[in-house]
Amino acid sequence: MDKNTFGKLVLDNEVQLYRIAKAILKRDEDCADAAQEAITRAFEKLHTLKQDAYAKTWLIRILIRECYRILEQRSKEAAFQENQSVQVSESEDYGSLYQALAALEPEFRITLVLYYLEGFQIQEISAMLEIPEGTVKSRLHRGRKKLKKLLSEEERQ
Amino acid sequence: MNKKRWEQEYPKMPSAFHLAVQEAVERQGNREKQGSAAEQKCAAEQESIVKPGNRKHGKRSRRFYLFAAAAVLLFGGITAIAGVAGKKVIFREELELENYENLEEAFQSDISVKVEEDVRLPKQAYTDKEYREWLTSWEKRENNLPLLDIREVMFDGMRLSVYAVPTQEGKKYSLEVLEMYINGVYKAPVDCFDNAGEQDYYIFTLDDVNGFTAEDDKNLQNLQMQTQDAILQTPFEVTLCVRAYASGKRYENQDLTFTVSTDAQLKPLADQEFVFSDYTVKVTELQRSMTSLKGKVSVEMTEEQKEAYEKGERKLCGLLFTNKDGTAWKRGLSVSEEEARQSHYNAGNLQWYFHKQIPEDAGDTVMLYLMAYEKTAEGEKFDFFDMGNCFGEGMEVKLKED
Repeated sequence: MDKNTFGKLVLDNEVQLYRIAKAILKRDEDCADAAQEAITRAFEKLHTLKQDAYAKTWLIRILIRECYRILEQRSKEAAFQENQSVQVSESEDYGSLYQALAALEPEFRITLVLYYLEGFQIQEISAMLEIPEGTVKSRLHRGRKKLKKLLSEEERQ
Repeated sequence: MNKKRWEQEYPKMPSAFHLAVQEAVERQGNREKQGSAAEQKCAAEQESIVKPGNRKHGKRSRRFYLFAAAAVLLFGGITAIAGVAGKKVIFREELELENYENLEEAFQSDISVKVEEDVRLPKQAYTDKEYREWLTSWEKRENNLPLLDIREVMFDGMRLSVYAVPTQEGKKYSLEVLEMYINGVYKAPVDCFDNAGEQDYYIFTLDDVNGFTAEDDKNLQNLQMQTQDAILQTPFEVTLCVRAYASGKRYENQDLTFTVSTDAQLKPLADQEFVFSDYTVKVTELQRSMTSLKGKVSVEMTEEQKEAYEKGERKLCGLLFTNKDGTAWKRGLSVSEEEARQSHYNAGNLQWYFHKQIPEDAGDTVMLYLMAYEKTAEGEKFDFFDMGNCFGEGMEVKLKED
């Protein structure tokens, strides 16, 4: 795939990139940093992409890795401020679903978002997250259950 | 899960993100124009910024040993014994092996478990450094009491599944096992199954289709299927790397090690060949255990045949196994249900490795079909269990030696 075509693919999928980054990272600034780093890396490694058909999956995989790297940095920073790494700032006006989602572990958040919001299949998610398909199913099941519980608790309040 | 609600409530992309993406893409375009020397320098700078630093791996800590007998002491009495028997039934049901005969020698319930803290995963850090690096900042668990009670193991010469229930300590966490080590050296991915998220029990199945890796000092090496079979010769040692999560945090791993010593054997079967006017199919590396069949299917063509195939509309993309009455073999290695509808892909080299559970009503042969999609359907979903997608004639593969 040439760089122009890949650039177009990135721009065409920017909403999806944001939503995936947002499943792992809390702050929009971090999402943008992760996307920029991922795009830079993807362009640098574009020659290693064997089949054009997998370009999007490949880019998302790089983005997810980048998000985890930033999450690691933020977790260290947040060690001084308890729980900050997993809670959504109160000042931000997010819907109840995202608030509940943010209370889950990142492994569950990203799996749920890839499946329910972005509509990827188990097989594709397995490739993106580099985990077996059975684990994707298990995480979906457990994540859905946790999310449902959190949402019903919130509705009761 | 309501897709509409997801769309409505999930945060919308802010304009700053759009600008960041646009800038990153444009920057690449400019680099192209500026030439390779500047590009390399910049890439090197980027690399130095984002490269994770060297980290010291987690320290080894105390070890202690648990024995299965201790579990009986902990739970005690007739009720506990009845409970364990009930769980055995569940294990067989989840593996869909409850109707198989003469499988007892494949099950093992006298299991001694060695508990270690945080030993394996630091080694894995270099399997994919960028991705795994963040995993090193775990919270410390309060103690190193075992998180899982390994109740039973099934190994029939090919298929390895572990049945475990969370201990009182384990119930404090959401547990997960994504990899296991064989004899402390060979790493294999694990299919992790729990009962509907209740954490009442877990079944971990070795996912050898995705391949073992072996560690040397610095690298990981992928192993061939034949090598994997040689490694899985009883007795062998299994280490489950148990991950623990709670309240949005990741906690230190726990390694649980035990020995598998069932009497099950793997039986190799002779290669088989099916010659058709348009192609030849070779079934090789065939092996069967009491419950499973695995091997390799290759489609070979002469230059003329290949030319005709490439001009045709239908492209091969996978395999279907059925009993002679047409009942599909749907179950693979995993406990989780197989997805019948998948995005198809073009298997360019026309070779497939397979690993299927042999249904209890299977005969001495299995029908093998090649599956193909229409060129125009590429990118759409494909039903691997739809006989309408078969390509050419079925082939009767022998499961027993003459």
